[in-house]
Amino acid sequence: MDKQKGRGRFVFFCVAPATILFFIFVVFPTINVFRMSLYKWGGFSANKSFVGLENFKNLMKDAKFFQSFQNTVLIIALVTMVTLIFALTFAGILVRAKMKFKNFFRVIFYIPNILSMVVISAVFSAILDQRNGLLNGILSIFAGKEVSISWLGSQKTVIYSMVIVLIWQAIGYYMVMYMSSMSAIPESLYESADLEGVGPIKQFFTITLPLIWVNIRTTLSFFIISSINMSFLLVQAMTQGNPDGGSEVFLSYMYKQAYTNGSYGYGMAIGVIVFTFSFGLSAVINAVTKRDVIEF
Amino acid sequence: MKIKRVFSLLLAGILATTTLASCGSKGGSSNSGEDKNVLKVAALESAYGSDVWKEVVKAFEETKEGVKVELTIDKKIEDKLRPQMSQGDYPDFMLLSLGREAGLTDTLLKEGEIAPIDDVFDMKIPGEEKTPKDKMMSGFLDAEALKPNKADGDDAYYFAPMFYSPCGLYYNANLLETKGIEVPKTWDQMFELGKTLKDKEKEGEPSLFAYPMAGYFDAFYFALWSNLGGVDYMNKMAAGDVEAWKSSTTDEFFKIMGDLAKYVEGSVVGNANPQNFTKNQQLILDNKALFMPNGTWIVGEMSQAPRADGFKWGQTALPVSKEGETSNVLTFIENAWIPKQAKNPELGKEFMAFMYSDKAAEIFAKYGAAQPIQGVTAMFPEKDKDGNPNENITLFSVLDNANAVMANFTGKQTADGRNLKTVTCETFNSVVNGEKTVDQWKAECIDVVENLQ
Repeated sequence: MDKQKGRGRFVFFCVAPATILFFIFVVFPTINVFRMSLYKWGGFSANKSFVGLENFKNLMKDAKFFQSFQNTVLIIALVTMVTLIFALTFAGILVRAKMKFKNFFRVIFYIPNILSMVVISAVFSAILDQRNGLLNGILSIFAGKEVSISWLGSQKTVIYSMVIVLIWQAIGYYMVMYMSSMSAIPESLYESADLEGVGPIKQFFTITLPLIWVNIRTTLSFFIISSINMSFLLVQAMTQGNPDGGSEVFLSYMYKQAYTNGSYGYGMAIGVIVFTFSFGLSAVINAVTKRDVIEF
Repeated sequence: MKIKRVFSLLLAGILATTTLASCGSKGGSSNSGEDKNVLKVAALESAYGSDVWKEVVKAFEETKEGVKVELTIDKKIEDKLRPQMSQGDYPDFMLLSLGREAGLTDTLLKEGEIAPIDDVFDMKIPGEEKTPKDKMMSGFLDAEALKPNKADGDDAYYFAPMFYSPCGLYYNANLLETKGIEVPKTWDQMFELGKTLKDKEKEGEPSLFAYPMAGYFDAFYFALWSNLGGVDYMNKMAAGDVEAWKSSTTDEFFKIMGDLAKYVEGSVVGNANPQNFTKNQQLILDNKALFMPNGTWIVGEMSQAPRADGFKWGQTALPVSKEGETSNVLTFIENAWIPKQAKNPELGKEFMAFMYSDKAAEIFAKYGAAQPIQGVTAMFPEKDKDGNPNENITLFSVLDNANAVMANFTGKQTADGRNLKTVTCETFNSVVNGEKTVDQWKAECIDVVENLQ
């Protein structure tokens, strides 16, 4: 009995520091975001007034917020789909195909992930430049006349430019993740498939994909979270929502409202929406991708 | 066991001494703060550098014998002052404008922690016989921007105007000269010039207009509003007055902006962001565009950039509606003020008056900063530090034929999801790239103005 008690105490003291830190730095601030979303507050003074759900009501009438919401959803959807396809393809090729310079390519693909967003935004500002950018230059060669598209200057193109940057940046990371789980698949499975006369593409869909499904599910949550975060960093460094909200995503909009527009409570209301949205989306994705786990 | 005890004693000893030491340093600083002859000056280190303040402080100490100045100067002065102020240790003189990102001045103003300074302008400037009011350029003391609480019925001055910078249209004077183009005086002439240039665009003629970022339009709008409807109208528009925004003068304003949008250089919107705005400024240096709204700091900002042969900065006031009218130029000023909780406000006020002395103004002028006193442009040295003719002399002369007006969007024109400055400035990008019409832009502005309260 006494031993049991002593063990309980030991476990308690082991877990306590982490739990306390978790509450101070995660749970408490999150609750605070929810609480502050019910207040009107400028961000500096002590004058806070409780307004209930008014911030949310205003939010529903805010066209700029919906614009940023649309942009974010577009980024999440496109970046996830395209990156997933590219990363899986590259990983499959690098793991399965017999080719030289495998490690070299692995490093090359991974490099964009090491670069900071500020560097990436500077690089892509040069590539997407209208007057003497690389992209317009290449397009001019193929078109046979001077192409002058303002990639960052129109609401129609700016968000796709961001998507391209984010995909370029993310492929290496996910590729390395898929490669690691792909190389864990026993070689014997592929050998017997070869003997049965199954081609490499069918091998990929019937052997590789089902066996790394758990890994893909995990990365889908990563995609959602990192698209939301990375798009904010990119917008902050590259366009700051220009032109006229065309590249605004909801974290950058929240930041603007909370810290430069003097409407902190309103910003926190956006925070609550972002929080709920990303949690909800992750849960939905998790539910619809649930399969029986196949083991080898 | 013994070792452990010695060790813990040692630790306790260290703890005790450091605690005492930190108490000691706190006591020391509060003692010096009570000294009547110590003046605490805090200033933002801006584009003019930090040496300028060291020289001015020295000049003040020479004028007022026995006074010792403690100078705090930093590029992020708010971070340095925040801990001191929370301890009740306030400077006696501050140079820090409204509208900074950290918003220190704005917050203290809102909380009523800034002292009124009416008597400073009637005070004899240390070392001189005149008062700041005698020497001030006309118009500067009429600016409502210096009386931020006027709307609440308080007519006192809270800010002293420092370092003025006219924000007109900047251009390459040499290009206009060689092409034989005269600086347009009216909007009709302006747009006619724009049309002529646009027709010959294929032959490599420059575009009429460019802007660094849409945010630079605030100064442009203030000048345009005051030209169209007078200073009162400008103040009302800046404050988000619904009547003013719905008036016929506002229709005129939108018409001019809509016409101007047609003549904006094609790559401007794509580069109108903090990462690339210098590319838009480069358009002027490369003779790709004729005019752009900016401030006198542009000379220093682009001093290392390559430029067309013979490039020479020029500045003009905005065109007017009818020939013969005098144009207004929005003049950017920085705010000097005295915290209510300053320990030595009298000395702070004397220092503030000293800012308008010839001695101080000459030092400021040497570093490119202009105090708003009469004859200050004559104080600019003829050559800059590289030995070239000082371009400030020509740039500041724009006010010889135009009136200075002052205004800003203060934090009061914002509401949840709405910001008057953002909607007036940023939406112009959409008008230029064709995403929105001028009417849509106007409707958005009026929606914001109507929902500010």
